[in-house]
Amino acid sequence: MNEQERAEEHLKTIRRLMERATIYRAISAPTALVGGLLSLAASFATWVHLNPAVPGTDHKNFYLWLWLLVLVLTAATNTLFIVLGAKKRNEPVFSASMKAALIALAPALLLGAVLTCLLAAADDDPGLYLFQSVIWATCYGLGLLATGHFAPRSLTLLGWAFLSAGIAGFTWMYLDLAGGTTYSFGYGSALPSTLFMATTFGLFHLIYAAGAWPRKGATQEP
Amino acid sequence: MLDFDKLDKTIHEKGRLSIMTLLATKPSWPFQDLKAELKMSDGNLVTHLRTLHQGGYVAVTKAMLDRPQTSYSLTEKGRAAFQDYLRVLEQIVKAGKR
Repeated sequence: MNEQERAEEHLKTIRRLMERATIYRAISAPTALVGGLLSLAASFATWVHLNPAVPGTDHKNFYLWLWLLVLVLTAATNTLFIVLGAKKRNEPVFSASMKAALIALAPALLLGAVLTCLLAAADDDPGLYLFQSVIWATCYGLGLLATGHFAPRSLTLLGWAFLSAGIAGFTWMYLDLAGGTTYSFGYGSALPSTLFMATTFGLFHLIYAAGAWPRKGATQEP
Repeated sequence: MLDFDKLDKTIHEKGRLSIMTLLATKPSWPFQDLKAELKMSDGNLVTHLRTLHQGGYVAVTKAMLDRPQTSYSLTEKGRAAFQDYLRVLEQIVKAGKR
């Protein structure tokens, strides 16, 4: 091996190690587990509370507040795990990687928040919940994909799963409207959105948690 | 004409280069994390770290957390040497492509 080849080989080694060392998992497996279980519980609560068969249920913004609570609890859990992890590794909590992840996530999450506010201000009808849920899944998926340059493969796959579900949701709503019906499960029903949220924010997170859970003996990603 | 002697011999060894690279990514690396990331034996890693420490490129910090932990970080001299080394490597690669 001549000096040029050796130099190229060394540069490749440097690049590979630097890429691996700067991987940042914005959503840890334990957070995904907590978020997934909370989402399934919230889906069940929505299904029970917003069931049209139960007369006289006051559901003014129930759906929005419930999912906002899930978001706050999951975000708090994620913060806790990040702080504990940083303490264990003797690193600052607001590391350069974390700042990069927040900057990457911000535009998509901001869009989701603005659209949610606009929809909430417009009406509180269960018929709109599916639209709201599909927006959340799409924005969340786009946010995760924006961290792709420094995220582990599993997180990028999670991003694609959410984005695909979002696209499928929009397509489903379009076909329903184009076909003259308003949501196959009936206008005023929260069931489609409940199923959508249980599948995406519930099931997807649980599958991700199972796949990304740190295993004994394996090299742990930061 | 490139002078290959400009390459820092302390860094120009795959094991030590890998250590310097990892140390350049974070403020500090515990010994166990370096070992896991580089998949080196304890003896090999200790020898390389000692060479880098003797060259003034690496600082050692011993802390008592729930158990004793030795961490390593780049010194100012080490960071400058690593940057110089990268510059020379790039020059060599560029010269080879001309």
